[in-house]
Amino acid sequence: MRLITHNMLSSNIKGVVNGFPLRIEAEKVVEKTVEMNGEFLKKMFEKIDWKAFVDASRAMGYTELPEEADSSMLDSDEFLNRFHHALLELHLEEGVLVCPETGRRFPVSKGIPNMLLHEDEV
Amino acid sequence: MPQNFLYCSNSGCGSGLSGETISENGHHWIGLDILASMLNVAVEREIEGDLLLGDMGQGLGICPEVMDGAINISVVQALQTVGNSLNFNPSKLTLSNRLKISIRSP
Repeated sequence: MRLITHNMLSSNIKGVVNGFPLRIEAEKVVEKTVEMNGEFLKKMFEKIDWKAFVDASRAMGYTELPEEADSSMLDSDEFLNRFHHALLELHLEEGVLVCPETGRRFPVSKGIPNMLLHEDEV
Repeated sequence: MPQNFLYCSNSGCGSGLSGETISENGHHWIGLDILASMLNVAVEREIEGDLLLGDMGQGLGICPEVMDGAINISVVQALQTVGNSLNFNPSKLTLSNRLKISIRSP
């Protein structure tokens, strides 16, 4: 699971008001290189919840992102490289996603989060 | 698919066949399927999209106004035929509404 996905994902449990962002407990993180697309990065920058993104990156062991970011930084190749790496190249392979309200743990195995809800959670 | 679509959801992505077409056209995607066996095939095939094990009938769990497009091949048919979704009731189907919520308005 990439962090671009994590930044769009929330806990869907019945009764949960604010199920975003899910907390990451990483057991295994892998890096897979993908080609950079500057246009895509600039577009995603407008949608990303930056604080959730920085916290998630740190949970994945990557600490090269600034605490705050504004669109002028997109002109910097260094920033784009870091943004691209954290957003699209880091993968949570094994671990858990934790609902911030209920503490419910969604297991991640082979890079696939299991978001299936129990009957009493629907 | 319009060229400016860059980020798509792919419900019922199965082994990633339709997702591969999305990737081949330079776009990113999140795939959702209820069958772990199919998702495992996608992993073995090293597809480029991100995968989620989930039940469409339980809602997407994807934040609103994020996806640029949505592809759903055989999803409604699967819901009606297989009946995997808990307490699935066609008259209460809000799939299209959920997808609309996830898709960015033009």
